Amino acid sequence: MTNYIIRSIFRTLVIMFLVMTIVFFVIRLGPYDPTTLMLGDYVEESKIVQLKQTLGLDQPLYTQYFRFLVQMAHLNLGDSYYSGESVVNLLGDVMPSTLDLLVASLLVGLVLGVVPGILAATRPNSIFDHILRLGTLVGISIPEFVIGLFLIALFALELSWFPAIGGSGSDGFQERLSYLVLPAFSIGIGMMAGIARLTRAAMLEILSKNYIETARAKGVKEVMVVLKHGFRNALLPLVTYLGILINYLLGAAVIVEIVFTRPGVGRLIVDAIKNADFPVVQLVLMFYAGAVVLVNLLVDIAYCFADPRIAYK
Amino acid sequence: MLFVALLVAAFAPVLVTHDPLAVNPAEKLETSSAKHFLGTDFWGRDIYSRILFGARYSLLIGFSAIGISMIVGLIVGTIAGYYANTGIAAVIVWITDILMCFPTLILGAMVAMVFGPGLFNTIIAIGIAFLPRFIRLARGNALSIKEELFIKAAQSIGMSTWRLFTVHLIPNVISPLLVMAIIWTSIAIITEVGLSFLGLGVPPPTASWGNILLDNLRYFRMRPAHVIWPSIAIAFTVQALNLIGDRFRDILDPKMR
Repeated sequence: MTNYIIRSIFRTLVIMFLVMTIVFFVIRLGPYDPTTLMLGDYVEESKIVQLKQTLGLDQPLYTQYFRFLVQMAHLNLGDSYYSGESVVNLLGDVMPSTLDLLVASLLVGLVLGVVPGILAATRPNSIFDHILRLGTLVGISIPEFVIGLFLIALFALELSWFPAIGGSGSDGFQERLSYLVLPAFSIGIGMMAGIARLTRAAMLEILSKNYIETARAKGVKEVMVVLKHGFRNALLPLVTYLGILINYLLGAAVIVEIVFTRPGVGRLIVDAIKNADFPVVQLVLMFYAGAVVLVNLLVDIAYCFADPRIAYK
Repeated sequence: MLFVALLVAAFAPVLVTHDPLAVNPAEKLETSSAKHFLGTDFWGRDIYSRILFGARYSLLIGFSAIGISMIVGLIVGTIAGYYANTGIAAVIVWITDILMCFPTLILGAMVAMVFGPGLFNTIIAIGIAFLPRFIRLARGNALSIKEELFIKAAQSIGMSTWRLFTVHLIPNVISPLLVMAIIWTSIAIITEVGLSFLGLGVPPPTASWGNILLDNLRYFRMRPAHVIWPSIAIAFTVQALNLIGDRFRDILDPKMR
């Protein structure tokens, strides 16, 4: 078991390193030149050359890469070209907001998805079931920002229940929460459809199994049968789905952050791309890749706990 | 319902030629629904026409990107599956794994950053973003198909690799790819909308759905309809594609048994 975990972790590290390298080269191959963007179009050649020298951009790529590696070894991740601040600081400022959103959305999606999923499975072919299936079909199609805009229109503008824009730093917990509601629901509803579908399908299959019948015959209460025996087995595909879901979640978070004008990692990277702010882009891309890889790693590890047979492959 | 959705999604390109193609008429400011069915935006451009034009672009980008991605992914994936334990397969798998690390939108943004904005570049960007999915799918299928008896038979009679691929392998690997291609087209369209919305896709004066959303987002309080209508268009198309894809999946699955 530990062997499996160690191998997984090692793979992850190697992948992260390759990702870092590729990201480094890829963004520097593009037509965006940070110096022109920083200094504007009407400045003389000499200033541009000077700036390039300061930033070290005039060196051949492999030299730059080498310096980058050395820098990384000293745990210095660089400063933003645009604002001069340490990249880590920039990310740190903005991270809590995004994390809030991610966690909240995930919670909303899970709760709203799993509960109807289980309910629909326990009442197959009922009116509830049909509504759910229809709902998921619709829910999967509507892009999250559409939902977001709609929610804004309804709850923020018309009814003024929740604020539409903003959601900075750490005002009191209550404040932050109210800023979170609409964005989290925008993403959550998008995820809900997929999760509900999956839960329902998994539960349907599981509830027809022998051991469920045994549990019922034993006299276990129906609620316990469904939850403890049934749902626990459904957790496995659900967790796998989470690995895929994080992909969607991160992308959606970017868009929702812009729609709701929330500070966040998404906005940070979009601005950085427009400004050709290489260090920022690099770090944020690695953050994204890292998040996806990390979640998948956790999923892999959880898998091997849930189904020990896997570890022996 | 499936057919209706299909028709509407297909009609859009046709309907476009029907209407005021003038995407930049005289600079009227934001008026709402009158002679212009859905109103005009800040620069006086007719929203309705823009949405219809946008349909063209978004559909074009979606289909071409997925099309290219599917073809390349099919070939690469089948190669990776067939030559399973060799160096080249390992390289392909590594690259695919790395590409899969990034959320689709972010990957698209990254590629867009390399190639710059523009219609063609956006197609490439989205195509690359979906490539790993196709490769994975094709490889998986190829791996299982290559063990089949008829493949072994073909190999034993000394069939040339080229013929093996084109006549036997690829036609058998392709069906799940086709199904997923349709479903992923809907995601591709959403991704394109996302990219344009972020300013990284089709450049501004052109009307793509993402651009329309971006332009009108600022005036949302005043004219929410301007944002709602493109959103409905997007949702409708996506829904249509998903339905078609689901139906295809149902059709192909039991028959394949």
